[in-house]
Amino acid sequence: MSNNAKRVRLLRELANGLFTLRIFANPEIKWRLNAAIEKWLAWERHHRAAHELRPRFQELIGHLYVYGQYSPVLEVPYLEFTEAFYTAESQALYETCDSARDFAKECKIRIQEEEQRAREVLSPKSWDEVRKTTERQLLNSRLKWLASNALPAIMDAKALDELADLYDLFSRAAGHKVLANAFKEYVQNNVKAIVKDEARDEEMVERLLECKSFAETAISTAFVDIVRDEDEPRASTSDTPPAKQPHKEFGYALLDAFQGGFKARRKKPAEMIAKYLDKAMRRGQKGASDEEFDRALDAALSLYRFTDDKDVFRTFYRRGLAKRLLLQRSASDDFEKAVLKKLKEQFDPEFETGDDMFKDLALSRDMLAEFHQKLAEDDPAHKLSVTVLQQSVWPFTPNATVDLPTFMQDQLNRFTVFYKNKHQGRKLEWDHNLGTANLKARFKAGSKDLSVSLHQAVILLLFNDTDEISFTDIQASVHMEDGTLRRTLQSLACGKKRVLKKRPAGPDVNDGDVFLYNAEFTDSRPRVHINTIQVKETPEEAKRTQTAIEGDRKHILDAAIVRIMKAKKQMRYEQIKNDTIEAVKKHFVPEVSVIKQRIQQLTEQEYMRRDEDDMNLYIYVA
Amino acid sequence: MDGALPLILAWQLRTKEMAKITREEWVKGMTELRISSLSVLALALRDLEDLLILDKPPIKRLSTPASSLDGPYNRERYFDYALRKKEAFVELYQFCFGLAKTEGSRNIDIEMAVPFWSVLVVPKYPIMSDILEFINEKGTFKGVNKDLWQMTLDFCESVSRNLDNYDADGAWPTMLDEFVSWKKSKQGEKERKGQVGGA
Repeated sequence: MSNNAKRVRLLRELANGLFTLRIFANPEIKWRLNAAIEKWLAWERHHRAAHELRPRFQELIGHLYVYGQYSPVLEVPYLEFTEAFYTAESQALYETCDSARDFAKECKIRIQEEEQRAREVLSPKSWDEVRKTTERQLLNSRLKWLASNALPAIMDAKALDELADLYDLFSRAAGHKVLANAFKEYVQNNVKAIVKDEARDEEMVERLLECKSFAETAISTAFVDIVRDEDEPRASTSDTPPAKQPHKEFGYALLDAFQGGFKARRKKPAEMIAKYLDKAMRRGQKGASDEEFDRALDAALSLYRFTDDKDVFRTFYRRGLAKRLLLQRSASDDFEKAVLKKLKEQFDPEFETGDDMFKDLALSRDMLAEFHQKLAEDDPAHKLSVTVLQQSVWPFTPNATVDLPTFMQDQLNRFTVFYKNKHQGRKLEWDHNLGTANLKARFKAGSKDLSVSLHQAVILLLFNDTDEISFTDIQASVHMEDGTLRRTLQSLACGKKRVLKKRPAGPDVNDGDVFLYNAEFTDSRPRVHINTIQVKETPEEAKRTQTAIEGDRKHILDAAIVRIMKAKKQMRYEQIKNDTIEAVKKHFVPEVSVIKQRIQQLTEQEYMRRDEDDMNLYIYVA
Repeated sequence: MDGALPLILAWQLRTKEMAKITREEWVKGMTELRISSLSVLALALRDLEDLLILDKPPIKRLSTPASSLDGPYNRERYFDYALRKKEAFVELYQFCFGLAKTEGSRNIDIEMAVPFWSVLVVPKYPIMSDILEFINEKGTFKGVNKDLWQMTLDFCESVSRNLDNYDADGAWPTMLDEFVSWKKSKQGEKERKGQVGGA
């Protein structure tokens, strides 16, 4: 039996061998087969449909298998035709598509068509090769062009599905890096444009947050790979949607983009982030849940990571914090403390917690209670509120002086005596700039509670005795700094809530003006807050802060350079430069030319000198 | 006297103050140089100008072994300078910084430095006239400290006029860095204009 079977097999081999030799090795037949495959494929690709003779090809493939001729006769030419076709097609699409976006869409369709045809016609072992050939020829030489042209347009249009398709194309061509670079470029350009748009500085942070939030959405929804858990049995994955994981290259690209984009403008972004947080902390949650508010703050804080100007942020944040706390403008002390803690722990170990500020305020409350306790029950000083601050802890410099009415000054003097008894040797200085007062004022339409600044109060109280006072007389009674006086009068007589009238009327305060009590004043509310004009930080003030920061930076640089030179005695310029940048980087990133200037200055002041023979070597002078 | 001559005279007499020679300084200097007439003084100063500023070949000694009686005045010092021209020029250049400086100050005013540079350095190194043009155009420089004074000469000595051997990472004073970027942008402008003209 075995002999028989062997013989039959041999016979078959013989027959097949002969057939193969006669038919498939025949150049004429070979050529005709090849031409037929080419023609059929070309037709299908041109008409983008299945040719009516496709079933014959499937039969042919069956035969080829039997003779072991599938690969040489069909697969190899099929792949060659595919390669040639898509090389040309890629060029044609590149030339005819209106945009890179259209090109990407067309590629997606083409790849799908090829995959489908392969599945319907070819043996499974060829499917992958056909798909890969198609992708390679369509995409490989155009990745850069496609990424840098399609991605910005799709991002601008916020078309997330299309973005996911684009990502899919690039994954196929292993072009993650190219696409991530285009993504970085796009985000960085946006960030740059936003921070440099001086006309819209006020919206800078909102716009940055919006830009970042959309980029993050793109990362978490479009630039994702499906994670296949190898251990899980296949059946269970069909129930739950497959887990998706953002490609990490894009997360890094986003960070780089923001970091780079922020460098387009020095200092201002740091200032605006601090001010944005100031506004948020004043406004408070306003109906948002703790979590939502937390998230909003976190988003703004996350921008802080990207600025090199840590010192600028710290300065502006502290000023905002101090004003909020002192003037009780903060929505919540707990949130203040939580944000400070977060700043220190997660963003900036150099950040001062502000504990000293809270301590001052708490001590003041206790001390004031003690002061009030010792007063007679009907003493008007019960209404006096005093906060004692340590000068070194708060970013205020008491400077404005004003002559208070005697009864006010009396109360303050009594407090001073009380304080000095408790703490001998300490000096109290009053900062009336920060003071506030509540007045009861009677108008024709009824009485109102006025909530005003101390400066406003001092002026209004003059009208207890008379209805009409000239500018010069007011100045003589209160001795306020000229600019402050004019601004204060302006807020009372030219603002929205005019409790005073001015003669002649007008928006500015002039030397010859006379001010009158406005008996006709009305307001829908019983309690009226009269805005002061300097509540908002003036541009000069912001500029002053910036100049102060500039000065601090010089000192920090000088100190760092001297410290470095003292330790090393002599050092090359390049090394001094690098070490200095390293030494101050937790505060700011200095410009090289500024470091050079400081070295020059220190050389001039003979802290160090340049070596006589080697111009790049500096020597510490003890 | 014009150009560098007054400075050379001051240097030779080691005068303490600018444009002022004390009797003592004068007598001592003239004795050392054995000069007894104004025409010989003029000759002596021109000799030094030719040697150090205008870079002319030195005068040869008339006799060997050297005799101090050679020539119309005592040229011992001159022959010494001729052997170490570069050092001698640096000596003159450094002396001038001290001369221009007012007592107790670390800097000299830019208004003082500019004419000094133009008579001392411009004839030797044409790039100096570009630096002066830059200083004039910028108009914001005020003082020149010792280091800048020294480094400006080093810069002129070592950097070619087209700046191709300038090292941006070197520790040049910022004024010179700024000069380089000013000059480079000017050169760029010229090239662009040239291209437009040629097209």
